[in-house]
Order: sequence, then structure tokens, then C-alpha cells
Amino acid sequence: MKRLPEAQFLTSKRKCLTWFMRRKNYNLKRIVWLTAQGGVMKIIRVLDSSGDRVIAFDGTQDTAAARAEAEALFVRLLSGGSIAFKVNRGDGKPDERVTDFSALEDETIVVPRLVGG
Amino acid sequence: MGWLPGRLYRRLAEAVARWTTPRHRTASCDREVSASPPLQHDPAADRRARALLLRMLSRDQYAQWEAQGFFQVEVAGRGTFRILPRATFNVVQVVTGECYCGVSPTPIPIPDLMLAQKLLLELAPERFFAVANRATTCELLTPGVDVSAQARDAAGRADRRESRVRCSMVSMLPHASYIP
Repeated sequence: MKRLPEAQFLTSKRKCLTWFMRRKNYNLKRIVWLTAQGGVMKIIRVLDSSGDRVIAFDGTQDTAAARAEAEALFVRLLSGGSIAFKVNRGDGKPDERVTDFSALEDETIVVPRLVGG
Repeated sequence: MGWLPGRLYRRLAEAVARWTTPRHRTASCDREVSASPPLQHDPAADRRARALLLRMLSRDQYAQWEAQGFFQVEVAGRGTFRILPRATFNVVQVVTGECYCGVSPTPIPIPDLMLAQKLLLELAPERFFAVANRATTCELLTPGVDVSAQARDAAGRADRRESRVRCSMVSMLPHASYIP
């Protein structure tokens, strides 16, 4: 039996999984984080050298500190020139730029400030 | 021997990547150093960024990425732009061929850069075009034309590197990290 190179094997495996999930009508884009109580956590993804840094929080008292920390980080990033976008909003809503922390939805991506290269 | 062409291709791409790394001579010594802090290629970060990018692409963009290795975005009032997996001048206007370069001052994986450019072009194009350097295809192909004049002006003429055209600006070879 001919052995596939590892990279090629992984690509084939991913394609099979993607095909299967599309066929079963799984939503490949909308991935949500659930809290212990079953609520949906809001997450902020900050693009950086590690790929992306994830900050998760929700409206409960348990994560009040995380929420305050996330808000401080959000404000600091936007004041530094980064831009935030609400993505994967569900119900076919298009992505949208966001500047207010209270308006964040399930998933937000913060892109770094770009400069002319 | 099915692995041989891929291995040769990877070696060729690595050689091209080494060859096209921007270098200049410092004023204090005659030693060649990298123009910017060298970006350590982190495969884990790259995989993570790539997964996020693929999740954010629309169905059409995903199909195009799988088939051709790049994707296109529609910008209202400006037409269609193609985002290529390269570090510089990777946003190309499909009709006019004008290339735009907008990069992050902090090193981020190329898929993250592509995602940032996609989101900006689709949702805040004025922010992208306000900062991106523009070059026409002819300028990129003509040696001696300084496509980084805008950045040089912004630096107050302090940047005295000689102008040059990098192969990564004109080559369609993918970045070394994208070769399986």
C-alpha cells in the first residue's frame, strides 16, 4: 500500500471532514463557547504573533473580573488604532464594525493597526 | 518517487525566500543585517491563523482558496480585490492590476494579515486605503522605481535604504510556509 506523505494525508483528512460536515448541514462557521450554565460566552479574538489571543467572558458575576479586564483591553486596543469587527453573528447577519464594548456579540475579531508597507 | 518534486519545490521556495529577505547595510558597520526584526516562523501560530481565516471566509472565497490559493473581496465603489498569501503588496485590484501594501507593525502570521485585510476591505475600506501604499504593476516590474517613497516620507527621510523591487512583490510563488 502506498503511504501518503503526512501533509497530504492531513489535507485529505481535513477535506473529508469538511465534506462530511457540509453534507450534514453542520454550521462550519458559527462556533460558540458555552458556560457551565449553558449560556453563550462572548469571545474577543486579538490577532497577534501567536495566531490569535482569545478572551472569553459573559454577563454573570462569576466572570465579572474577566469582563472588566476584557473591556479594559478592548478600549486600550481601539485607542491604539486597532479595529474590531463583529463576526459570525448568526441568522445571516453580515459582519459589522464595532466600537462600543457593550455592543459586542458572540464573537469579535480585533485586527491590529495596519501601516503602509 | 512522488515526494521528490514537492521536496525540490520546497527547497526552491526556501532559497527564494532567503534571497528576497530585505537587507541593508547599517551606517555603523559594513555588516548586512535584516531590515526588520526577523519573523520566526511558528508553525503552530500559522496553523491557528490559517484555521481562523478559513472559518471567516465566505463559501465562494473558501472554494477559491481551495482551488487557487487566494481569495477575492468586493469593495463597494472600488471593484474586486484579490488577496494573495504574501507579506507585501498582496492586495491586487483585479482590473487595473494596482497592488496595495498594508502590513501590521507587529509580526503576525500571513493568514492573520490576510484576514485583517479582508475585514478592512469589506467593512472599513477607507481605513485600509488611507494607510496602504499603492504601486502599479509596471512600477513593480521596473527596477529603480521607489515604491516605498510614502513610507520613507512618513519616516522623515530617515530611512536611507536603497530602493529595490523585491521578488516577493512580483513573484507568484507562494510563501515558503505554504508549501506542503
